[in-house]
Amino acid sequence: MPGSLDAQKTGTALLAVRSRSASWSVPGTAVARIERLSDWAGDAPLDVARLVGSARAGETELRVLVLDVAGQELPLLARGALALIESSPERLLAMPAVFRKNAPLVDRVALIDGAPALFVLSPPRLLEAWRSPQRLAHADSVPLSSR
Amino acid sequence: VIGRDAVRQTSMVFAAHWVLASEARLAVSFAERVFFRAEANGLGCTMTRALVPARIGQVWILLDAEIVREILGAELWLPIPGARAEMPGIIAWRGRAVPIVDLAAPFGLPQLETGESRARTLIANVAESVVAVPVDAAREVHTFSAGELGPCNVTSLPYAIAEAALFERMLAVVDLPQFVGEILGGTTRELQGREGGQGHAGLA
Repeated sequence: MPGSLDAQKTGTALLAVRSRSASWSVPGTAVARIERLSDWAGDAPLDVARLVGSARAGETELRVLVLDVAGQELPLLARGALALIESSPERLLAMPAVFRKNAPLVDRVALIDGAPALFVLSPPRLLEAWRSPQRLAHADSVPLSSR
Repeated sequence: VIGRDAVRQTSMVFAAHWVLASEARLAVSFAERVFFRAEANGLGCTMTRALVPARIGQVWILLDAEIVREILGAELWLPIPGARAEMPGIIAWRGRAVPIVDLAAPFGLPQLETGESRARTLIANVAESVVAVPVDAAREVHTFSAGELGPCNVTSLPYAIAEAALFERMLAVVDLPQFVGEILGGTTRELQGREGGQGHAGLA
């Protein structure tokens, strides 16, 4: 996965997943490896699109992003195209408190061309969701893409 | 030692002051509701209020100029999953993510859709924080005297606290802080969550 060494050093490279149903990203430094879903033999990955958007049938690009969260592997199902985006701390905005209940997995909002464009998800919160999905069950019913 | 008469006299004076203060409060209650500002003019005080005319769809409204910090152009916004129709997403402003407030929602007008922007964005201080209010047009600040503002008789918009004539029509003065306060408290009157969104507890 190509990426700027400087961006990786500062920890602001983002691995973005973009599809018709949802776009999201995780810090590039948290990504241990990427596998095709057809090659994946581990535990069922967390379907992130179902949590931050809506999972649509017909996505052909299905991969598993394996994150390393405090030494534990966390598999995420990625539906759509992957891209490495170089950002900087000043282009990662804190989510207003008013929305934390609606989007509990979102840690930051990344600016692209000066506009908020991409959610940056929190690996620890994703890990928590993977371990106890019922705690985030409400997020499943509020698709972003239908808005 | 304070004698009984002295105590009685003091109590009466205190009571008289309390009554006067109460009456004064009643007398200015309307003025307080519409945030009149007393401005010294050398001979006395005139009660005026500075308001920003803004249009959403075909509806012109007036917003308190004192809370408007800046007027931007069209801003791209990011929808938040599950957010209420009244506060559907965020824009970036001065290095922070700011919630947008869609006044079209309570007014029954077409609401902001994903990917759609309005030509102007008012940045306002509300509830000790900042919100962005997308509007289709905004005009220069107008100053209204007390006599030019009155209770709503012609207009019937939600959150209207007064009305005034401008542009050869009556415009409602909309209480944006009240609206935002109700959104944050999850008690907005006109709408439930757009997609079953939850009530909100606070603003960044």
